[in-house]
Amino acid sequence: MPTPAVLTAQLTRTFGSQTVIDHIDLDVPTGAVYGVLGPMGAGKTTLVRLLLGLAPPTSGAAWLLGFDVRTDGDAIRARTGVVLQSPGLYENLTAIENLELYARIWHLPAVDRTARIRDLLQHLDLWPRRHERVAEWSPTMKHKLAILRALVHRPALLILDEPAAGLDVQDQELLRSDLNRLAHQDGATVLITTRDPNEAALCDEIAILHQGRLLARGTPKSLAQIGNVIRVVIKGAGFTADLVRLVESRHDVCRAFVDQNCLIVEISCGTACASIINLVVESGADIESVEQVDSGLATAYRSILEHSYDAKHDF
Amino acid sequence: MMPSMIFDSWTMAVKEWREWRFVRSRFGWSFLVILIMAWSLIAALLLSYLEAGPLIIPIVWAALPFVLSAVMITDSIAGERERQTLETLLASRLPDRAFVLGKIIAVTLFGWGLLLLGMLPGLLQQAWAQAGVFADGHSLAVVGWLVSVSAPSLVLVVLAGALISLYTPSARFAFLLSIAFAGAMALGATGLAVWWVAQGGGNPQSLSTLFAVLTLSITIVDACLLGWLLLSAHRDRLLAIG
Repeated sequence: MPTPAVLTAQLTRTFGSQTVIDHIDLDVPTGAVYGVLGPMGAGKTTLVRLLLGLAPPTSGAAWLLGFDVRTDGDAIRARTGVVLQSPGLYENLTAIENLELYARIWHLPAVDRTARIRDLLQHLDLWPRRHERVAEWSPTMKHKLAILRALVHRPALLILDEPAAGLDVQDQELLRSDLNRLAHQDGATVLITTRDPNEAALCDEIAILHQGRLLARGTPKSLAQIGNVIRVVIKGAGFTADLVRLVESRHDVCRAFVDQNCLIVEISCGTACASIINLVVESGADIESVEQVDSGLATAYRSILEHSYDAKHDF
Repeated sequence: MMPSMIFDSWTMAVKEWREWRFVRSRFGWSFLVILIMAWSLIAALLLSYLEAGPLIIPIVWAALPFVLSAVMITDSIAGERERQTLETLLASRLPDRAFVLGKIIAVTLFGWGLLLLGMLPGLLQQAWAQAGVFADGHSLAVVGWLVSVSAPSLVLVVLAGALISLYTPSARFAFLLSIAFAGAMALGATGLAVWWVAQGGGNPQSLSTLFAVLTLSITIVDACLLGWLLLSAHRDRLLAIG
């Protein structure tokens, strides 16, 4: 059985009386794109700092690539690429100087260094602006450069703290395909933290973190079922605010809302949707079609947070 | 291990110089050069008539590079935290000591350059006028102060500034303490020079003894501070700075 890329055992970090990371057990397989999903203040950034040895755990243990975070920080950092929430770029240096600095820090040979930097900058269309000071760049461009910097030494483990937050949709897609290629073709492991369930849905596996506790973990598909919620999409017209309130007042309806010309009703598993459709028809709305769809990770995620499960769930 | 540490430290030093290249505009750098050269000339012209002038003038020449070096080392270490570049750097494979050593190298070489820049115009003026530092065989005093005392003293200022940056809770406070330390060094040296001359120690032989003692003492203090700094420079402390 291969060594997991990241393994934690009852990892805990407290600041005074506040427990920021609460007895977390993670097991990130090598070569996976793994997402840590949680709202702001869930402890995602603290978890990243603990894994990188930038802060010591209060109790518990963690291993990255088989190395103990307490004692083998240098070995871990030598094999890891990181993008923290702040890009951490030297704004008075040019793009090429920023990458060159880190390529030197990672002891890339001079010949390889130049070619690698050119390839990376060309890949994200930053090559023409390589001699500009980073201070003159937009936040999106800085974010892209920070990601390239983390890749410059071809790390075995890439840790990205909210990587898509500063990117536009097109670059987010490019980043996703890059991360997938890195993991599935080059064999690297990618650990990302995110607040966005749609972003997490593209990971191979996900752990949901809330208030320092691991609430659930599994594949996006298995987690999508955790909320016990079915989404019914009713296409038609005449979906008034009163109707939405009426539908939502039913005990078996979790949520109802109108999106364009659709009334979307999220119901608990086992609820017969016929009675809801009858209610909609009786209220005077016109129905063109009714479709029952997978509730998706976003709904499940919201449900998990709302219920704040007491016990950890593995799926 | 050692060549790797030297390579990493040099990488950091080069990064510092590249950053400074842009920090001030070309006008800013020109202004700084003119200021230091003017400072050098004015000190030479005003102080050469004092009895202790030959000893005080080199101290005044060194004062501005001392203060600037104190500012630069503090900005270099504590400023990394403020600019949010420190954590990313410390999450890389860069050894903790290379981080600090690189900054020490960058600021020390820069400070020595400023010393040279501040010394030349004043020296030329004094040589041309055959006054002050070049009168009565006092050229020894000038060369002695500048080479054997000022250079290691500047290292002392830089090392102290680095330690202050590591142990103070805010970058601003580190700035104030480092500048105060550099100022105190210059003031202490001036006091020593005046006292030495008042004791009749202005002759070349006596000055040679003074310089030898000072150079040895300062070098020992430098070595101790460097040792302390390298022992202190671990990630936990670096992450707590500023």
